[in-house]
Amino acid sequence: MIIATAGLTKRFGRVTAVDGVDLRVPEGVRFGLLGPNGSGKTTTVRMLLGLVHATSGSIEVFGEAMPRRAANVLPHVGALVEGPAAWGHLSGRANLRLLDAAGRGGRLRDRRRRVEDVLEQVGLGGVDRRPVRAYSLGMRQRLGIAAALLRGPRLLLLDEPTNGLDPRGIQEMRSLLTELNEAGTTVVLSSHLLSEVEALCTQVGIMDSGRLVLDSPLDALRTPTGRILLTTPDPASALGLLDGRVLSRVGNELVVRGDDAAELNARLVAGGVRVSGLGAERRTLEQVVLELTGPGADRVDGRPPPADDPTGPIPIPGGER
Amino acid sequence: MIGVELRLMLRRRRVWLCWILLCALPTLVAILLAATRLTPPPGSGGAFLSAVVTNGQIFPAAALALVLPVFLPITVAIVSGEAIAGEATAGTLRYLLVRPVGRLRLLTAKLISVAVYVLLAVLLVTVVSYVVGVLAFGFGPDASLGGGGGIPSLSGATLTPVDVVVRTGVTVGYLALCMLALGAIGLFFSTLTDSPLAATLGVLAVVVASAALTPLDAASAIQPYLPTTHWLAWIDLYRDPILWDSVHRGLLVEGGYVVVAFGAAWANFATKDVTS
Amino acid sequence: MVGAMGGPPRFSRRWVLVAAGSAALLGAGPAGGLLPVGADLPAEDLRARVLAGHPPFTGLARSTGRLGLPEIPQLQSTTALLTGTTTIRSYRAGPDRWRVDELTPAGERDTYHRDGVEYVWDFGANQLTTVSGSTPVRLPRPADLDPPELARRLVGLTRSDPVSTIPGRRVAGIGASGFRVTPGDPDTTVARIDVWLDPDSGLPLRVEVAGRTDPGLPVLFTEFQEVSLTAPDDRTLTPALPPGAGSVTADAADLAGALRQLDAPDPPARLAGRDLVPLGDATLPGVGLYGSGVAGFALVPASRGIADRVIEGAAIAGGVAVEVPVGRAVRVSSPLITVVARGGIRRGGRLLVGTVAPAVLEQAVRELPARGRP
Repeated sequence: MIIATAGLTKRFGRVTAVDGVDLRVPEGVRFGLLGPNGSGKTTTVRMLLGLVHATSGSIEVFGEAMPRRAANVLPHVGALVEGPAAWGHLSGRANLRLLDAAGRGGRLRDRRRRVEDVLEQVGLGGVDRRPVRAYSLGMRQRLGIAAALLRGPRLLLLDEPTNGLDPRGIQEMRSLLTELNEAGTTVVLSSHLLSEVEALCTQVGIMDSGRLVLDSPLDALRTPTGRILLTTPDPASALGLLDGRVLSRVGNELVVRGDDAAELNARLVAGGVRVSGLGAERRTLEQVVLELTGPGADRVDGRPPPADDPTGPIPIPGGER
Repeated sequence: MIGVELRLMLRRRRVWLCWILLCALPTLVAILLAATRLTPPPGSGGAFLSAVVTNGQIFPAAALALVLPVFLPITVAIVSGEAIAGEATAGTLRYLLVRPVGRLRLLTAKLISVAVYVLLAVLLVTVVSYVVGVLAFGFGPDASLGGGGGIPSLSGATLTPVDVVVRTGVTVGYLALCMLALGAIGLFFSTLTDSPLAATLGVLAVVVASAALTPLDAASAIQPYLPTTHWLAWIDLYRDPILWDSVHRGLLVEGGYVVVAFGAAWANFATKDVTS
Repeated sequence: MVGAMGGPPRFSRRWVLVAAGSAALLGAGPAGGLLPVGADLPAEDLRARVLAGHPPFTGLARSTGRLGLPEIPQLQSTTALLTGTTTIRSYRAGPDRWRVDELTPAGERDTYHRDGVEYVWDFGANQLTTVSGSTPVRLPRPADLDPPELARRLVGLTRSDPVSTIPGRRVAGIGASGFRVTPGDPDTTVARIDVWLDPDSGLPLRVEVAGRTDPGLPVLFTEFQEVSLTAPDDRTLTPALPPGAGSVTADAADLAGALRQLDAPDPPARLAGRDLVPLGDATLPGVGLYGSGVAGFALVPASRGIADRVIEGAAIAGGVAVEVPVGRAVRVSSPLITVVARGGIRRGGRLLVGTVAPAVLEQAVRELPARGRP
């Protein structure tokens, strides 16, 4: 395990920000920590980095206790916490050089090269001498990721890494992270953007009001729903053929009960119905998250939220926590 | 980290602005005095100011007395209040800590950079005002009479140039320590809050409160422990023979402030949750 | 593992450490009080040692007056000595070779005494004044306030009053032995004079004076901050005239000349039941000293302008009007010193100052003849 926490709890005064979190991140995964705003993601990341001290519980990173062994652990961790930050009066290059010089280790001789390398990696290789103050949001984000990569970390802890990037930038960042991950770096990113986690991560943790409500491989979450989506130019014939199994129809698209798309296809083709699209419906991550989490902390309701669905959430294989 | 901190400080425009303003005030006073020859009557006005017109070499002492009560503390409050809170506001604090830079190491580097700032500030004021003083008022009557170019002490006896250099050196060191004590308090305040402005105002509140208590007889019991009480002790270095008593006391008290304030900063910062 | 788990949180240990360190630093000052004080010695012996004179020394003393005297025009420099804190640095090689500096925040006034001539260096005025001659009566000055000098003067005035031993204390790093003089005269305002001196050298280190209105609270005290028994070197005792500074000469007898201008009558031979004390050869016209010991007062003529200004100033500062046969008079009392001023008469301005009960001075001002010359 790269990260293992047990009963991790943080209270700020009377507010419990993180409540008994047992997070386990295996080596080599791309882990996505999802949750609405205020669910305790950032506080958890800060505790992993030793910035915030836990009220109770324990943290191990690389098998060493944090924050006691921070001096051993942190040199191998690259982090982006709640957005990038830099000394605004200096250039990006100067920022990275100073940041590199601030920590122990990292020989002076190859500092220049290392800084150029990471700037190249994040697509800032040709950046000029203007101060960071004049950078765009996207450039700052790239610089923040460059800073996280500076010492060739074993673990990348990234909080909202694609903030402020344009779609092309997001794509670049995604392939950079995948590349690094394939080279052996464990990537943990926290985000409230489902699409981002869905597109990048192999494992997902979901936090809600301080608790970790799910920790599962992404594939295990996306179970078939027992419905098949069918697109056909002959919806009327299909309706007739599949009498009773069609749950709904919108234009040429039908939702059919059942979980074997191959069987359905064979049946339709045999019945002379042309099929232009067919597939088992899988649950989206969005559905999973909405089922598991309450309203975000930024929503303030006048009345208490309606009671939970009496049928309860759909059981999730692999999510038994 | 110390090197990084110094490089960061020296590349801040605000720091240079502080230094320039500190040197500008004495220069302005010198120009006005030279132009009008209207010195304040003896006993009123700033220390040494009435003697400056006759001998430009006293001007560094007068300049230090000019910037000491308000100007210098304000700039020290700004620079030291910024130390941790400024990094917190900019967000760079969390990146330094996960670099990782040990918290004690970070505080030490900050204290050293404040020390370098105050030392350079006092030194710059001294050097600039010496040049300005000599340009505006000359070397004093002694030089024209073929004397050694010394300056008169408060006690009347003339100090030789070597004497002047030694005493000025001790003065610079002493004032730097006084200001460093303030800087250490600022560093402590800076760990209490994420707002540099709040830390700066806190330091100024300490200065104002201390200055308000100093002349009060009812506060005589705590006066020896107030930081501002000792700020003028360096004037005793210009007496002949030198009166070390108050300078010694000042060194102990101001040194004590540095130790206690830095200790408090460490105690608070070592386990502080960095949430900025 | 997180340090906060089990046991007290770690930050408290750090704060305890810092608090202990600050307490130790703060305690380092007052802890001097734990060092040994001087032994209790027979009071008569101690008094005899003060009267026998003191060895040469160099020291820094701080004198504090809490007389609460209102500002009296023309006498500000004197009232400042009695109502505030004065820092003085003394170098005394002998009774006729000394230098005393009054240290102000950004300057100093140094008085040098060499072979009967006095030199005053004033940094603020950038001027050295040479004063020749002396007068039998003069205003108090900072040089009178260093502990050996004040002790010698006060103990000399109270030779016949009873003394007692008081607990020793530590002054300027020396364990000092103390004795107390309790003046017997019922009319004096002085309740006690306490002197602490170095039992080895006999050098007085601290003097305290308390008034009868509140004998527990010293209203005038002076104490060495730092003292050494090394004699000052000759260079230190030689006044220096820096280039560019002014040099003037003054004669102490000028004061007599100024007084003569007032054309004041000779002082009465008796006032308020006290005899006029003869002032030796160099008489000051119109000036008289009455009474003995610490129950004495001085009569000084003043111009009408000065007397009127004193009366106006005193009235603002809480003075009490005194019924007089002619003119008007006002009394200002402090725990130690009483001042009565009379004015409102041509050539009849008078000041009465002394360490006596207010009633004595009020009686004295009523007994004064109304006119300049009868």
